[in-house]
Amino acid sequence: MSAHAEADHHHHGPITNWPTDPQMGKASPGKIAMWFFLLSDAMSFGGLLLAYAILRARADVWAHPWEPEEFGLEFTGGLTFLLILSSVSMVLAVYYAKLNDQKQTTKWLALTTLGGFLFLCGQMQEYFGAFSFLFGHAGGLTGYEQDCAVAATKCLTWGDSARASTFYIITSFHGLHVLTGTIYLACVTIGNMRGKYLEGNFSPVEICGLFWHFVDLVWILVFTFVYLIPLPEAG
Amino acid sequence: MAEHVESKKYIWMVLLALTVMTILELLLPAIQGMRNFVIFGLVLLALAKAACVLIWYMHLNHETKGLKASVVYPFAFPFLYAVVLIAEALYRGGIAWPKV
Repeated sequence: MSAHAEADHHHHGPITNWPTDPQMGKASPGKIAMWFFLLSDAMSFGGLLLAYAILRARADVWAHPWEPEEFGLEFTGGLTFLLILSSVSMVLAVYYAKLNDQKQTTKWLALTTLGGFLFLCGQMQEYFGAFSFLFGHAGGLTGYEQDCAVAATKCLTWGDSARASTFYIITSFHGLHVLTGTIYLACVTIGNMRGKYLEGNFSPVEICGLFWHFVDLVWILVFTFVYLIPLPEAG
Repeated sequence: MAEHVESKKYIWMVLLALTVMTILELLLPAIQGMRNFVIFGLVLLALAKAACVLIWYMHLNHETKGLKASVVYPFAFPFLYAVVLIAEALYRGGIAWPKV
């Protein structure tokens, strides 16, 4: 039996000190698996963004007269910054997990979870005006239940146009990732509170962090392509 | 387990860079009469922000050459597909270049 195998054989807890692989270094199998999952997920987002780009490039009319010219940039800019801040708190959680500081890790994981939850609330406001009592009409697209062609205010309704459908498909697919990430983070936070990731077993926190940063990374691209690229100037 | 833990300084530096780039992104669309420049600038800023997250927050800079290559090359493909597919769509549609 080799020295490594013998050490593993007598190891009762999780294996944390992986042998160095010539190609993958010290990356754990779980971490490599998460990278491969993220790559396949990136292809899904790539496909959606490509479909969006082709539809927009070929459209004779992209924004219809009853649709808003832009999608509440200040509000969504705030949500973008919120996701960036949650990425920072996630990096700090991994940092303290490596230092075996359970209290700090829990704090930063909980704050990251809160960031994800608040982003979802922001998306609910954008889609349904769910928090109009707090924000008024800020960020709201209000198009989910009314006929935009006859509505008094400009709105974006699912199925009304390629612009509306691609907007809702891409942002809701991302929102599904935020929801998944928030639940995942909540589970990891609870696990950390129970002391599951101590004594060098920080890999699960790091893997969760990879997923969460990916959600942020994808939003950076979605924000640019779907929200920021301006319509052609009139005249 | 002895794991190398680096200083936290880079976290704040990257946050500063991301914040500045996000503010620029929100200001750029207000520029009138230079739409192509605005779009080019926005795409460049988005790619720079995505690279910051990938390299420093996802710690790709700490990985081996093999793992870096496994991640970066497939990530680059959608951009190549975008150029080819958009050009093809425009050719079929008989349109000169994106109306966007």
